[in-house]
Amino acid sequence: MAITLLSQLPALTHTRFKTAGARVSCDPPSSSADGVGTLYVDEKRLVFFSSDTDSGFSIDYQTIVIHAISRGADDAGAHLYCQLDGPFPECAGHKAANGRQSDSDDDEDQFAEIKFFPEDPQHLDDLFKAMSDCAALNPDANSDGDDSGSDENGYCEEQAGDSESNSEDGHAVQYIGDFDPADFITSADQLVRLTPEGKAVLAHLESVIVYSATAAEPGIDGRFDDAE
Amino acid sequence: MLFYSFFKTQVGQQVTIELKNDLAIQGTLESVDQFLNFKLKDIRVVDEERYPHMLSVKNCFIRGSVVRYVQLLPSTVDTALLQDAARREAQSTQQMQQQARPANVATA
Repeated sequence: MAITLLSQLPALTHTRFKTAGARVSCDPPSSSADGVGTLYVDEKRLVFFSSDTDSGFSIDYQTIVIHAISRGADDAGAHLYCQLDGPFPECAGHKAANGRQSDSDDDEDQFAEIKFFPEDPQHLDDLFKAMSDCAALNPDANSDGDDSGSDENGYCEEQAGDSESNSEDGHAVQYIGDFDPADFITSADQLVRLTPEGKAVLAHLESVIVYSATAAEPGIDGRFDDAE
Repeated sequence: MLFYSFFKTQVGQQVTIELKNDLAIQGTLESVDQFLNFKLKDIRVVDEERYPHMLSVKNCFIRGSVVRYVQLLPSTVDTALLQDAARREAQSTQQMQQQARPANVATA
């Protein structure tokens, strides 16, 4: 969860959208997320910085749980609402004076909600779209290559109700016992190490596996031959 | 990929997305992407008193990684088909992993 307080504007490589004169507010209130500044929707993170106070903050997209356009009866109070997955850091030396924090937020997660009020509410749709695009560009680190792992989690969730802790931890790994990776057979010349049972299993699997006629056959149409 | 395809068939249906922070949002599924990020429209927060700040929100984008459950209308889901598709996807994943090994054996 990454929310960084800034004392200078960071280098922004690809800014999809920016709007100056935007007011920010936070609930529960934080002195670090207050005032007027420029909002930058950069492909790496969301940055808000005020040149007046020479301060601001950046939020990684992984931290933004929901973002939405909130419009009241008229456009005047229209803002971009962002729900974060944790509390907003206070600047050093400040204590959150808001008693509400301990009372109503007594479920397991306390999360901050940030609102950005742009100077011109017409920009909200572009701002929302830019944020959606950038959020899609920043998946969680463990979700890459997790595709086969997430299938396993999916099955657990359908069959037993007990893997909720798995999905909440974000772990796709099941503990199956201790093993020594050195015991694994990873190449053809190690096959001599197979026990008689292992050899029988190998023979059985090879008789059962159906080879797909396309990619697995070398030389079928010369596509996968080494370059001459 | 399977659930991405599955949710694409649910676009336009009413769903309720329950997040890991216990917030539940009901709305019409507008779009889904490969990370199972969801866009909902015409949303309603299920327990409104606890979350007053989303009262004027019509559409929202929900990050896939924070979703705990997606509640669907049973009439819109063919569970037998889904179960079958899931089984086939699991088998093809296993076969892909096993095919890598015989290629080594053949060249021994």
